[in-house]
Amino acid sequence: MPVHTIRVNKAKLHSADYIVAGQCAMILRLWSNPVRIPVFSPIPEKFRYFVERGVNSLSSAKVPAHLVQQASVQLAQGVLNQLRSMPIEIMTIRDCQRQCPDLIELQREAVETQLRLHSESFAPRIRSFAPEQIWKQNVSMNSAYALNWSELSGTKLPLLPYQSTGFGEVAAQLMADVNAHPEATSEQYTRTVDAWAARLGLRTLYQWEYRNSQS
Amino acid sequence: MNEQPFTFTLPLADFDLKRLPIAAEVLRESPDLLAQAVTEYYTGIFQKLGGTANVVAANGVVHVSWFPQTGKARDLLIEQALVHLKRGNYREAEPVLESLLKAYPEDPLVLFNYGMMLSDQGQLDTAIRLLSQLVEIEPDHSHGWTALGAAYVRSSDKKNALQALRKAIEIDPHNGYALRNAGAILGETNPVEARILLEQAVRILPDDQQALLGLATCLSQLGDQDEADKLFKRCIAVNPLTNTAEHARTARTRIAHQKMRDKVDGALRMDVVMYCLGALQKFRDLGAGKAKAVTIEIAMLGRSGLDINDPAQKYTLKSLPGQFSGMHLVSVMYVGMKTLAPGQDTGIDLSREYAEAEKLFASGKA
Repeated sequence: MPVHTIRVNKAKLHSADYIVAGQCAMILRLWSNPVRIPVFSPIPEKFRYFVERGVNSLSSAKVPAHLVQQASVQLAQGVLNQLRSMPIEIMTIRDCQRQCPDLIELQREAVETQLRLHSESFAPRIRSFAPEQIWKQNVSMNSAYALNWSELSGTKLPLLPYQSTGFGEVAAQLMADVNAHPEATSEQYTRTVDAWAARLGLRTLYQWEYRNSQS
Repeated sequence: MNEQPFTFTLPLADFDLKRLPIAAEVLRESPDLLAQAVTEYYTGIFQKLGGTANVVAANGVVHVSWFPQTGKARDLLIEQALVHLKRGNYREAEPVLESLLKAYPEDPLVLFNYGMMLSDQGQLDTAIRLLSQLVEIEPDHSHGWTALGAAYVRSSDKKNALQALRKAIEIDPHNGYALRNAGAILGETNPVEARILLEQAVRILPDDQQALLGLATCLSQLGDQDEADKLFKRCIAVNPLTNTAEHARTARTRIAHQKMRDKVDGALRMDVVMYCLGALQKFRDLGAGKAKAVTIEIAMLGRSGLDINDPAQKYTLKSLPGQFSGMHLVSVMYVGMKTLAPGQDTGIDLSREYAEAEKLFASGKA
């Protein structure tokens, strides 16, 4: 019997039902084909090159020299992690809203907390530090997340910072990629990640491996 | 169209930025974005109510005018706020109540509901201010005094809390909430008087979890563990998923644990040592994955209460064959938690028996 244990931080206990629902929605998608569970795997040499490019951009920004390498690795990992996780997050937000309407208030709280965190990318302390390319990739994905919630909640509020800085169009394109594959399967997830990666110039950095694969 | 619009004005600097899904530091950096976001925020709220809403943010101030389609704006807004409060939807209720307070600063209904909501949200200074204002305007408002007492309790001011709650009881001796809350405060220092108040509270509010928990705790303090345990059980049955039920569960475990220890005068329970040893051996044979499944199944079963003082083998598991007593299952779960998640609180202290079992297990005597 496979077991998936979810440990909820005491501070988040009041949101436990939503956290559990989100995890279930995610598992249902990723495990839709139990003998082909996708695993996002960065390609080491491509990743190193991506980090080096970041090092060059960071060198000219305000980062102490001894922290440049470490910061570049963190930023590169961050953007890939976002690429891996945000499409499935958007899909599970939709699944939960459709299937668990009683959790809407907990969901709103969780998503709005996330939106607030995402919008910190516009703060001058972040904007001046992050390399232009990574910043744009990060904000583009955030804009899709904001558009998704804007459509689900019926308010333009989450999108305002993105529209006013010219990210409205990329948000629509990335959401069109999500909507292009409506079925709730792991294939839909990998195809969406690939489509986002192609649009954002990240497609060469990773490959898919499959757990429990029989081939 | 109603001729009298509902209007209020709010300096943007006073707007609580936490209500917006945009980082406060970004909003502070961009006055245009802030004005746009606050306009969008109030437009959304008042448009949902029907009628026409005009929202303008300029020169650091937001002006809101709402023309309801029919009826009086105040009544419609209060009705709306109460619907949200009933659903526990503070997020929607707050801006409506805040707007009402701006327009009607001495309205008892607004002061009561807004004060209660702020108290629930932990904004205690403002809650106490509004509720104090309410009981000044309406000194016989028993529920107002109760709410004020609850806000004082939350801000750890027990003296003022008790004073407010006694006033509420004096005005209305059948105010179950005031009796319950006063009883809970007194329970810490004067369980005998607390018991009288809490018994009355439970009579008036027989399905109120906090009243049941309060009375059960009080009886436990007075040494009547059997009656206390019955009330804890009743408290859990009302709604097993609340924090109050969790407190009652913990208290029941404590009572059961105490009884379990009393049976052997605090000495080591050899039956528990053997159960733990058996579990260590079983888990070694089954492997970590299966052990985890067994532990989780017992933990889930334990949510509805495992009777550890009844030796009857009345429990079965899906993940492990056989029939088990409550104490046996708790011992197996204890071993599972100790090996799989050592930092996790198991809710019962079997550490001495577990240590003994580990020694036996390591020496391979069994």
